[in-house]
Amino acid sequence: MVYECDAYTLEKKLPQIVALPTTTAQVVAIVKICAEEKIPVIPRGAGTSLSGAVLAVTGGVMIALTRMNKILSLDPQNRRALVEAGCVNAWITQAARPHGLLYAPDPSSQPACTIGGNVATNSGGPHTLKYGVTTHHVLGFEMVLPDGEIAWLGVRPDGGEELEGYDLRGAVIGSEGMFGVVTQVLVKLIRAPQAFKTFLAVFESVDDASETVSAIISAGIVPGAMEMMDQLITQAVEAAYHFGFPLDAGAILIIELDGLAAGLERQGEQVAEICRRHRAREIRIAKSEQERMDLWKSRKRAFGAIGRLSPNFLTQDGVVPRSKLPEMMRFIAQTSAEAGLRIPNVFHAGDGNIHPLILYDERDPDQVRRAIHAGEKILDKCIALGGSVSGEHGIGVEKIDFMARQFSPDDLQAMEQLRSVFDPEKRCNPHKMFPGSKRCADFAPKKQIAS
Amino acid sequence: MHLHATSPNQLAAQVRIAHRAREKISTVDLTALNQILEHHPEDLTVTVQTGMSLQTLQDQLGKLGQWLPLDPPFPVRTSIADLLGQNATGPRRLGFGTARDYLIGLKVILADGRLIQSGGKVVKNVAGYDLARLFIGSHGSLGITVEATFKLLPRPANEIFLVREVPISEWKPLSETISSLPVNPSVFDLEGQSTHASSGARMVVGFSGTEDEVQWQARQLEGVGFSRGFDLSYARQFFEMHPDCQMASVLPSRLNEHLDSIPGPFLARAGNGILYSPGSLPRLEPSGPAALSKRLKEVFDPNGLFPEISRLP
Repeated sequence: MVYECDAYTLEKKLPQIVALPTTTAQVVAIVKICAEEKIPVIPRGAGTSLSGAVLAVTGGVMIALTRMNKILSLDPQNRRALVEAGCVNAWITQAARPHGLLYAPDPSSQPACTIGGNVATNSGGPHTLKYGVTTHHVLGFEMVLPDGEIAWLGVRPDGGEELEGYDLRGAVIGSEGMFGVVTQVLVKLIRAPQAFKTFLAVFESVDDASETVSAIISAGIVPGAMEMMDQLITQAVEAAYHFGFPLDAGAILIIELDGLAAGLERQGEQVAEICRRHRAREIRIAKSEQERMDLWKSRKRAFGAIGRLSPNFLTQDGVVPRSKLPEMMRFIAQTSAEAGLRIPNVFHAGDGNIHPLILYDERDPDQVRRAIHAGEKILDKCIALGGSVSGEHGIGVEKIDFMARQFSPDDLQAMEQLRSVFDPEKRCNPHKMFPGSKRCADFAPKKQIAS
Repeated sequence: MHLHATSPNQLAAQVRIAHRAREKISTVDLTALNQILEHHPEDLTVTVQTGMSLQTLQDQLGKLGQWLPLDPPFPVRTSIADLLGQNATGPRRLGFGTARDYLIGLKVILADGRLIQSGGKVVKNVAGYDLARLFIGSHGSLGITVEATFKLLPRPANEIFLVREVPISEWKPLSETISSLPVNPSVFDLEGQSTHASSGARMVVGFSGTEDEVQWQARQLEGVGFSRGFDLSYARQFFEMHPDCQMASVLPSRLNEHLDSIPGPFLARAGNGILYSPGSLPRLEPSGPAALSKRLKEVFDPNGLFPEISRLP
């Protein structure tokens, strides 16, 4: 059943009703009924959340925005587009491309995920290193509040970028669908870079690759993207997509420079020099746009290749300061050894946003237990190194227990205060994010195995 | 009540006193909170106390070839708290954005004296709500910011500013020409004494980046009549001459229509659709429903200790 969970499949619960509205007026009607009957409302985009943000923990009415997926208008002169919340992320860039424009935040799920979901999660992606995340590219949006009122927050389609008052738009972005149902989104478009220089650098060790990432930033270069893949994940991706990745490298880095062609030559030389200084054994440069697209396709489909390695995996989403990457990667290797589980890594090295993938077999309850424990150790280490337990996937239900480790009770209380401004009854996507939330009645790994 | 403390905890204690006494806070002197707490050049992040002036911060960061890419006109007398509270910007807003693009963590003293944190020290972070956002542009109405963490950029290797005098009636076609060029200006301003069609105005275009990029783009602009060798002092001078400026913000493609209605001197961030003028201008649009803003203020400052949010002139 599609709606019983999102991409975080460890917990499942069917909502009582799934509504698929086609207009804002319908969303308002549904939300008002739920307000009268005091029923939870669960907004949903494409259900690609990796943290259980769309789980209907205590049932309720799931409002799936997938039928509200139109691009309403595109304004190339002012570099804006107005789209319905269910519009797929990748469609926006597709529509903007003929005008030499694109929508920058590019999560790997972009062929499926919706802009409304991106707003809920404050989604990232590989190119956020240079361009920022969703909150830097969403100008404003229409939202149905939990009491059924329609609100426009932020910049209006025909309005100026500077506004008077509180940045309520910014407070809602990343609120994981807990403040209302977003129905329309006004996004910023950027000029597509004139040229790219995309490197594939091959290293003997994760250490060398991690140090290279730090060194490039220290040299004052901000690439468009810097991604790392370790040996295990590279092997899986190569077997699945046959790009031409080396199978025996310790780690590979994808480094993409973008901008005016006039500037790329020299910057490219600097990057190559830094890679060589850190013992890169091979440096390839994509020779054509097609090769560049193939490289990114392989990278972005990495999670899809995991099936070759393992029946199940836990996706982690921690962040550490870039300079702590070498230490963090060594810690992950150590944790893997201690847990007796393989942990491949494919992630946004440029941001310090790691994605260790803890492989396990759900049919073995001991592996499940060890996998969860390994994940917890990794997230605790992220906090200890001055990072965060979530770089882009959000807290959802998955990381509720970590909120009290990363934030103080006062911090959490301030967040609850903010929530009360929008949803005093806590009916919109309830039981998420905060410690003390009700957990899914079905949550017990052993039970998942049986079902 | 006037607050002045030498540490965030001391300040928080003073706020607790004000809270219990239900006494409005008139001014907060943050000058003693003036240290850089952490600077990690290899991570391009800095954590700074908000009493420090922007100029002092930039000087420190500049020693390691980095900067916070925000350039309001008076950095010596703009503290980090002011920068955030006013969402202060300058000519490079077009190329580099605003404080919203750089703030990654914030410590704030709330109206009941609690010292809280939102965000953190890393450039990607979605744990919890993005509360920090609310304090940018809030003019001190929700709390006292005491510590801010920013992501930084390397200082551009080079910057070139070009200028061209143009009659007001011709600025729009010229700006369209520039938009069609394969260039990415970091500055695109229009300044003049009057908006009559025949009056002269000054168009300033700036580029920031590597030597090669900047030189190449400058040559494109020279090809349409611009001259090198300009600088950004006009931006500061405008605000020195007109300290009580209003600000308007319109869709960039509609800037021309709004220019017509301005009687006197103006400075326009043409790329952003932002206008400054000592004359009266249309008000900024609200950021959201009044009811939500009112509830926000009530929830975070029920006793009205901090001033109401209002746009500074």
